[in-house]
Amino acid sequence: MTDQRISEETGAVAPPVQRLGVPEAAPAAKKVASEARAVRLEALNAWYGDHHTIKDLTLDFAANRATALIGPSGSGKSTVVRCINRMHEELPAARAEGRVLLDELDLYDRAVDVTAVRRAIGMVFQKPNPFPTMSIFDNVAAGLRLTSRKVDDEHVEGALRGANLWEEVKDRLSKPGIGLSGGQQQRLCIARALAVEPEVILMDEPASALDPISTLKIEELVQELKSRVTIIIVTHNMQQAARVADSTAFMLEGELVEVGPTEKIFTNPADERTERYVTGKFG
Amino acid sequence: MTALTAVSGRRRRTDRAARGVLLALTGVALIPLVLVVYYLLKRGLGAISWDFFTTDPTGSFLGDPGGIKSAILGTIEIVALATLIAVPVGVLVALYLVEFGRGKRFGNLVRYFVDVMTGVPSIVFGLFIYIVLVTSSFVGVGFAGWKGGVALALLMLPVVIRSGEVVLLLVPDGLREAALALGAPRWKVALRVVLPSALPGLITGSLLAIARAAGETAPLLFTSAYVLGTSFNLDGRMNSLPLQIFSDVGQAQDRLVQRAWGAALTLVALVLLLTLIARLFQRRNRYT
Amino acid sequence: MEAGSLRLPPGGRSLDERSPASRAADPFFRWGLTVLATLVLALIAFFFIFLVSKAQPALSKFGLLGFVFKDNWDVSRNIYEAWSLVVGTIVTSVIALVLGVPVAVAAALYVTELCPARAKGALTILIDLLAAVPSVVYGLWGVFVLIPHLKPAEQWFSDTFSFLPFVGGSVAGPNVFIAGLILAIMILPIVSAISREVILTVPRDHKEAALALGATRWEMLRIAVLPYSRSGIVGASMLGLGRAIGETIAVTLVVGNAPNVPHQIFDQGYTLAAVIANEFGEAANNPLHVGALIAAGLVLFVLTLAVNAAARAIVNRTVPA
Repeated sequence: MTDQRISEETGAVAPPVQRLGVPEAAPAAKKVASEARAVRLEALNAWYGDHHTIKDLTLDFAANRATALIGPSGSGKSTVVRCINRMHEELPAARAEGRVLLDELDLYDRAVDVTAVRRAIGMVFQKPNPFPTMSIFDNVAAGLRLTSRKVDDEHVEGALRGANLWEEVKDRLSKPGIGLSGGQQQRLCIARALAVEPEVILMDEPASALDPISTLKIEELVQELKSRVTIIIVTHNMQQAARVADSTAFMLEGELVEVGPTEKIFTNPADERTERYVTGKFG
Repeated sequence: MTALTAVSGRRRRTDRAARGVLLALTGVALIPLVLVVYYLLKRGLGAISWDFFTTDPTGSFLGDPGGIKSAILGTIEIVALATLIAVPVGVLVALYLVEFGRGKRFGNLVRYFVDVMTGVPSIVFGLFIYIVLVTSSFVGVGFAGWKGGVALALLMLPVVIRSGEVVLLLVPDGLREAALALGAPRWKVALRVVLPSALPGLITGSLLAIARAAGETAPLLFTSAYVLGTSFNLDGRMNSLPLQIFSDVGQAQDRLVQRAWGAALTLVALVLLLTLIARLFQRRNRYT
Repeated sequence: MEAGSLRLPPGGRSLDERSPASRAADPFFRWGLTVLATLVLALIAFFFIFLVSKAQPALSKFGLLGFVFKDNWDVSRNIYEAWSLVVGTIVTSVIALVLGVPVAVAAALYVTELCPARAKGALTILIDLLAAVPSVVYGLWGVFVLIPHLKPAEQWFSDTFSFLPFVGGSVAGPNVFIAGLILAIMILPIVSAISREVILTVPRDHKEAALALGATRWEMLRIAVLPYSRSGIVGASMLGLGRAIGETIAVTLVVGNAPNVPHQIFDQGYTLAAVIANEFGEAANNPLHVGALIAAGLVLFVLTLAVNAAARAIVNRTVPA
C-alpha cells in the first residue's frame, strides 16, 4: 500500500495522477494540465433579498495553492465561497451574477449543470455534518452514491487516508459516523468531500467549532492536500491563515480590499484597512 | 434585624384554595378515563372468549349472537388499505411542503388547506365518498370495503401530512447542504438523505394516524356499510369493529349489548396498543 | 451520448456531468410532487362542489335560509327544515365548552406550572389518552353507564334549580346535557394539549417578575400567565368547539334524536351530524331526504370550516409554528 502522504508543498505542482491510489473511474475528460484547478471570480455580485452582499468582486485563486479569505463578520467571505460552488442560490431569496471560472469554464454559464459544478468543487462546513443514519464507510461513500458512481473499498480507504483519518477508524468502518469526536467528524466530512475527487475544496471556517488539537490536525491536512487540490479557506482566525495559506485575501463589507502573498498581507499590507484589521484594531 | 413581612392570611388562603381547585379539576379530567376503562373491563371481559374472536355475528336476535370475527378482519383489511393510500401520499406531500414548498405561496396555500382538512368532521368524509364513489356509476354503484378504506384514507391524510411536515422540518439543514455540496440533485437529497433521517418520526406519526382511523365509525356508515359475514372481497360490503359496536348498541338485547362491550374492549385495546407502540418508538428513536 | 458533457460549454473543458436520464429525473420529481400537492387542494374544492350539488333538491325546495332557520324536520311528511338541528348542535357544543374548557385549562395549568416534575409525563399521557378512545366507545359508555347513573341526579337538579332558565321539567334519558357532557370529555384532550403549548410560551421573565415581587403561585398565574395565554386558550377552545360541532357517533347515541328545539337542558335533542348518521339508512331511496341530509352535512362543513379557520388564526398568532 503506497503511502499517500505528499511531502510539504514546494511551490511546484505535484503530478496530478494517482491522487488517491484509485484507478480512474474515467468519467468526463478532465483537463489535467499544470494550471488546472485555478478559480477566478470576475465581477461577482451577490444579493440576499435586497441586501447587496458581494459587490463587484474580481479575485484569482491559484491552482494547487491554499488561499485564505479573511475579514470581519458580515464581510461576505462565506457568501463568496458559497457562490463558487453555487450553493448560494439554494437559499430562497438569494441571487448571484457575474462569472466564476474554473480554469476557463464559466460555472454560471447556462449550459452548466449545477450538480456537476458541485461534484468538481467540494465543500467542508463550519459545523461537522456527517449523515447521522450512515456508518463511517457509508458517509465517505455517500458522495459517490448520491452521484451514481461506483463505490469500492479502496476508494473509501484512499479518501480516509487522504483525510488522515484511516488509522483511527479502520477497525470501525461500520459504526455510525456521528459516534466520532468533533474533530474526527470534521475529518470524516473532509474524507467524504475527497472521495468525489474534486478539483477544488472550499472550507468555510472548518476548525472554528473544534478544539485546538483538532484544529491543528485540520491545518496539517490543508497543508498536505493543497498540492493535489486547490483550497480556498474562509477563516476569522488570522494565525490560522498565516499558518496555512499561500495567499490571503482581505474582504470588507462585500468588497475585496487587498489580496497577496500571506506573509505580505500580514507584515506589510498595502491598504490601511487591511493593516488595521490584521493588527486587531477592529473586527 | 428587620423581620420579613408575612404574606397576608387571605392571600395565602386564596393561593391554597386556587391550587386546590386546579388540582381537583385535573383529577376531574382523569375521572372519565378511569371510568371508561373500568366499565370496559367490567362489562367487556365477560364477553371475551376464543369463540368471540373466531365466529362471525349471526344476526339472530334471540339465539346465539355470535362473535366479532368479521368485524376484526374487516377493520384490519379496511385500515390496511387506508394506510397504503394515506401514508405514501401523505409523506410525499409533506416532503413537497418541506423540500420544495417552503416559503413559497403555493406551499403555504397547500399547508393551509391541509390544516382545514384536519377540522372536517369525519362524517363529511363519509358523505363525500358516498356521493363520489357509492352512488355514482363511475366505479360501480354500491357499498364496498375499499370505498370505506378511501374514506378513512382521506381522514388520515391531513394527519400524516401535518405530522410528517413537523418531522421533516426537524432534519437539520446542514445535512441537506452537505448532500447538495457533494453534487446530489434535489430529489436525491430528499429521498436518500432527508427521508431516512426522518423515518422514525414518520413511522410514529403514521402509527398514530392508523390508531385514529381504526376507531372511526362515521366514515364507514355509508361506504363500507354493515354486513355480518367475514369477507375478503374489498369490493363488497365489509364489517368493521366500530360498525359492529354501533349496530349492537342500538339493539335492546342483553347479549348483543354484551357483545358490544366485548368488541369495544377489543377496539380500545387495539387502538391503545398502536398508540403505545408509536410513543415507545418515538422514545427510542429520539433523534439528537 | 458519452457520459460527459452534453454540449461543450465555452472554455474548452468539461465537468463530469450526469447522464440525460438522471437529469430528466429532476423536474419529474419536483413536478410530480407539485401535482400531488395540487390534488390535495383540489380535493377540498371538490368536497364543496359535490356536497352542494347533491344537496340541491332540498336546498332548492326549502331555500337555504328556510332550510337553516325554519323549524320543521318531519320525515314522514317529507319536510326538512333544520332549525332544531342547528339549535341542537349549538346547544350541545356550548354545554361541551362550558363543562370542558375550564377543566381542560385547569389541567393544562396544573401540569405545566404546579405539577411535580416526576408526575408531569404520566399526567400528560393520561390526559392525551382520552383522545385515543374511539367515539363509538364513548357512545356505548354514555348509553349504558352515564345515562342510567346520572338520571336521578339530573332529576334532582332539575327539580331543585327549576327557577334557572333552561332548567326544570321531566328528564329524558338521552338528552342534550348528556351529549354535551360526553362532548366535553371528548374535546378535553385537544383543548388541554393546545393550552399547554400556549402556556409554555409564556416567557420565564414574566413569571419571575411576578414571583420576585412576592406574589404567591396563584397570583403569579393570575397576573403573568393567564393574561398572556388568554387568546391562545380562546383559540384552543374554538378548536375544541369545531370538534364538538362535528362529532357524530357519540352524540347520536345519547342525544335522543328528537328533532325538537330543546327547551331545557335535560330535553332530548338532535344535531346536524347525528341526523345524518341516524337517518341515512332509511333515506336511501328518497332523493329529497338524502338531499336534506347532505344539505345538513354542508351546513356542518361550513360551520366547522368557519370555526376552525377563526381558531387557527388566533392560535397561530400566539404559538409560533
